[in-house]
Amino acid sequence: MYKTLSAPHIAQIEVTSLCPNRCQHCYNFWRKSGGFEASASLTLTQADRIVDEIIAHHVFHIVITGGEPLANKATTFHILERAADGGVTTSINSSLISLTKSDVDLIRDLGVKMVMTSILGPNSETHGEIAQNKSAFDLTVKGIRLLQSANVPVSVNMVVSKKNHGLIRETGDLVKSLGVNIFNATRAGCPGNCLDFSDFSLNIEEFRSYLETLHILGKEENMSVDVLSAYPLCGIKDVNRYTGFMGRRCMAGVNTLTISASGEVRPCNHIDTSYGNILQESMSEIWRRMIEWRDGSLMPNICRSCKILPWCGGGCRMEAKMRSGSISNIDPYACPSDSEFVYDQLINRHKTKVALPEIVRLNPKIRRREESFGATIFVDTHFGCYLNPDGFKWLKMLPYGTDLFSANLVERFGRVKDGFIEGLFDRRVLLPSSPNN
Amino acid sequence: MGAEACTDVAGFESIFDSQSIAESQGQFVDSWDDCYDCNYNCQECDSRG
Repeated sequence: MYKTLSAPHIAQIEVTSLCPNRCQHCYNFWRKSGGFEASASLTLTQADRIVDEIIAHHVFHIVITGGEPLANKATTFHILERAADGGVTTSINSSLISLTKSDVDLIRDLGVKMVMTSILGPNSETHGEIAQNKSAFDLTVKGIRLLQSANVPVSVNMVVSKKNHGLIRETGDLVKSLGVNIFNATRAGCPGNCLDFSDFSLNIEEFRSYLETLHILGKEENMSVDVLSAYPLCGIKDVNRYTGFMGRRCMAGVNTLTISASGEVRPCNHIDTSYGNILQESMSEIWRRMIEWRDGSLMPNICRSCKILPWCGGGCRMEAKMRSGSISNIDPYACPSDSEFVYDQLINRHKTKVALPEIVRLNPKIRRREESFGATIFVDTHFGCYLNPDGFKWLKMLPYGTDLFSANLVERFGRVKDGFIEGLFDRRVLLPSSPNN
Repeated sequence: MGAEACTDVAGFESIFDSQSIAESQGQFVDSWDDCYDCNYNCQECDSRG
């Protein structure tokens, strides 16, 4: 179904499984099972081995997560430093509990692109009850303010469950009042080793209601709102209204993976199955072993024949596994009877034609990685595009730091298919420029 | 380099492989064209609670 990339775009590293919070919905599968994984933390030597693999395989971006990364500060900052030296961009997911001013200075100086934290309700009582930590809310808010004082970009995610789905608007308003303009709200996913998540899982009506609330919040407060999980589009249903919540097909084992605090490598944070240990084998060996995440063999039968599959990707496999017993079952939020409605919306979407400016420049923040099919182009911290060999060859001819007249590009560098140059511009591989730049 | 030295190039590639279900359904071009700007790979790609 999907091509096999030479390596993931992004690696998430769980630097420790320890966490000062005990969130009732926590997806970390080891929270309930205990055992070695529940108390593991990466040492500096282990972190070096992991970063060596990441750099050697030209992974573009690292997300440092946990557990709580600040419960293992030495390794967290060591990875940040090594990544910066190796040209790998970074971001951090943290509760911000125990964040200090000197931590913030390091985070800023090491060029961390974004810190994401969680706020689970509009006040200390709600947040503290869900996180099972009475002091968590005040410490998280304090951490947000510390980061803002150093101009480190901050975003907030709210994990939405039955406990707080009626508080999305109030929580978003709080986040806005803190001066944070990126607010994500993501439905709680059933953790591995959890036999009964019914106290937390939204039903389909609550799910669709939460999307609507989030959408309205974004419109009315001019906030950047998003969801951070792959939802089946037939569950979202009104994809023309919720365009911003599309585009998150499950890419576990396709362009992303997660490395645990004991070196075990999984397709994503939620999955409780390891495909190998990066402290003992190379990333490429483990990556190859994840083929079932790319070849469609985990895809539910009903999704295989669904017309919206290419846009949708079939939802979340872990949610299917934990709530309906098999990883290749249908996502519990899928509503196949609505797929025809979604398909009609998708194929009738209005596409805006991109107008190429008179003068462009090659984006200095692009990074390129050769693939068996051509190349992956990454733009700063985001995926840009995949190129075939001809497209890659053409792009490599463009000089950095030079104004390029759009009208002369074909004459100078050769003919391309209609829309290719506009596509590069649309994907921010090319940026607008002016003679005065 | 002049235009005469190059041949036409198609340019972009899809993450779907040539044997994909998506392609066999005839939706290959439309779908990846719509999805190229997917921000799945952004730095906020973890739903950690």
